[in-house]
Amino acid sequence: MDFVQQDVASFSDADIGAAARVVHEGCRRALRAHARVVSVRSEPEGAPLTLERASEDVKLVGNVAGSAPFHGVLRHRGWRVEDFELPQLVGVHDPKLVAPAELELS
Amino acid sequence: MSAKFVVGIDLGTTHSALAVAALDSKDERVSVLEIEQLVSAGALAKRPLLPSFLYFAHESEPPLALPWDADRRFAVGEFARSRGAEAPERVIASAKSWLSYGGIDRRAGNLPLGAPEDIEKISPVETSFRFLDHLNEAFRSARPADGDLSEQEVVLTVPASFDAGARDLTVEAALAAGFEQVTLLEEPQAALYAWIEQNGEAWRSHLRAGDRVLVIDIGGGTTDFSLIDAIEQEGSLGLQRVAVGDHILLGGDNMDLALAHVVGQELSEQGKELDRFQVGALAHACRSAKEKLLSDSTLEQVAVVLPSRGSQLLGGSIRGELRREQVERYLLDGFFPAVSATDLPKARPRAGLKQAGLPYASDAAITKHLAAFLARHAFAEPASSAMDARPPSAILFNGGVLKAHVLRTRVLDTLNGWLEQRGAARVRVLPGEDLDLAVARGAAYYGLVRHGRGLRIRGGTARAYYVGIESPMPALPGFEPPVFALCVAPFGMEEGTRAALPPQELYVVVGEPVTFRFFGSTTRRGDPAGTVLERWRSGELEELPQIELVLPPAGRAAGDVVAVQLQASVTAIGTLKLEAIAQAPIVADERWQIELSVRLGPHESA
Repeated sequence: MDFVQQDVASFSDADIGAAARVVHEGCRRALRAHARVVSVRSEPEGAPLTLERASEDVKLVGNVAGSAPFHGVLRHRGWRVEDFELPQLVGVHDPKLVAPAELELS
Repeated sequence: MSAKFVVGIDLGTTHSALAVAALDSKDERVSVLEIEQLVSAGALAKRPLLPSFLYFAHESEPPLALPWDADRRFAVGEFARSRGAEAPERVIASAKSWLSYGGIDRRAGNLPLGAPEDIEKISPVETSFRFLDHLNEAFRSARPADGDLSEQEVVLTVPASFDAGARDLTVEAALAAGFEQVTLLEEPQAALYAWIEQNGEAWRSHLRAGDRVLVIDIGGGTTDFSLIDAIEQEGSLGLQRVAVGDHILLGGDNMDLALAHVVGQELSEQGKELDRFQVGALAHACRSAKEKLLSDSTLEQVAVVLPSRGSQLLGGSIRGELRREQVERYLLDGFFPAVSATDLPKARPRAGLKQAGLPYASDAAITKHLAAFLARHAFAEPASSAMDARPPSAILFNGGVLKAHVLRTRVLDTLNGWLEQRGAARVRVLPGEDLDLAVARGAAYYGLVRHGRGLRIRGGTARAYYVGIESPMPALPGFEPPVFALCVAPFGMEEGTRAALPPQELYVVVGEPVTFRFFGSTTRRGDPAGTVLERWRSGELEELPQIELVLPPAGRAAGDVVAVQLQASVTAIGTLKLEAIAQAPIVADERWQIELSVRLGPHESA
């Protein structure tokens, strides 16, 4: 939230890179804690691929015409969430509160 | 009601875990039960591990509600750990280390140390009880049809190095949680049971009679060693635990802190000062940087970035790095130096004044502690030992720290170097899985073993126990009278057995507190009950918390002197019981039970 909300235009790539590490690691940990994400296709990207029948799993792009089987080049493997479990909310909490303000007492 | 399940509980210093096996099916599979817990304010999720942290809510906070308790004012688990980093005076960590530390009254409210006034402090026993109670609640919530853990058989693991008193206190916490059918199991044995469970019948082809397995268990807070022999037993293979190590408060958390200190020093040299919060964040960041460096040998450094305290992530973050060379220097050479077999840990200097705190190991070198353990139990010829001194032939690793291949390799290479010097063969590695969960799994499997489904590791008590007796000699100014040690419980007493009654008599005054010095030895394996030691080698006997007893007069006049004998027995639970038996009873079977986990400090009459 801090990263997206901040105006990054005036910062160097090195600064943004350092911040991206924090954001990347946090997002990755959060995602993995709640979801198992797998590739839709296991073939290497850039390899020729024949699709026997149309499917929601694979979006056709480029010269989209004709009928199955479709011959083309795999450009993106796609992602699919296999297991997904969000924490359960308990107690009296404001769900709109993404991060409370912090007041340090000394 | 008879139990349907055996439940294995690993009540760890930094994490706890729970595994379940069904008793009424042919299926001997053990499954790990994910534990529901608060993971952030108001968010409940399941995790394989329950961090062993307990946080007390402040009046400014709403209740730390759980589905089964809307008004709770404390939390255990992941939220407790992360919230504890923000408000460190309100959290209890390492309760298990306090449970085994005789320097405080372990039944008195003294945790969290230095807590603010609004917190009603609790004891190490109570803290352990609350972890167990949470596990019970999570079990009920996950398997509502299966009732309560109090209806199941529970196997609770303890470090092999726990003395009789710490074991008693662990059982006390379990009984408070309602676990009536509880049994204790040593953690390194549990790790070996998990290995057996995982290998099925094939395990017998990996171990032969005559093998000696060294189990090395390095968790978040403690390091534990055991030796377990494979023996010929009525024509088939049996297992016997033959030695356990000392209690070493040294583990993965120390390693992360050491690395955080190194990186923090560098940041400070660059003029970047960290506040208390950032130091905590640094330890976390170093842990994950360390794991990356240890698991990927192509990385030379990993960036360690601490987000700014404010909402301006850019410009306010502090960037440092952890380099491979640092991990090798501080982790490998600091905690796992390639030492010789005779390089023993530095002894702790005895300080006159002691600060309140845990007795952390004063030497961080785990390989030196291992050298000391093997010198005592496997390499040297221990005096008065019934055990043959023989090097290990196989090794089993356990504990989260040893998930790192580099660290396992260092331990293995160092150990093999010692063995080669002695002309012994290198050890075989028994491949373990799930180094975080093996103890809980092995504990559940042991529950099945107790029902005759598999092989039991024999071993009995891990120490011989002695009481100190002042020798009768004239007082000399400036000299304490020498103390003799009377063996009351020999090494290796099995569950459900009783030690022979020692011929010596002790005199106690009824109705008044009497204290005995109490000693344990992991090396004197040949002393029968009744042996009196007038001297012993340094380190051979370890002094344990004193035993204090008040024998209720019960028919005698207060102040009477009674001659008693101390008799030890091992209960079915696996704890040591010590009784004072009157030599000249005035009623039939006149005896008093003796408390092994004594209260220290100001005494309240119970």
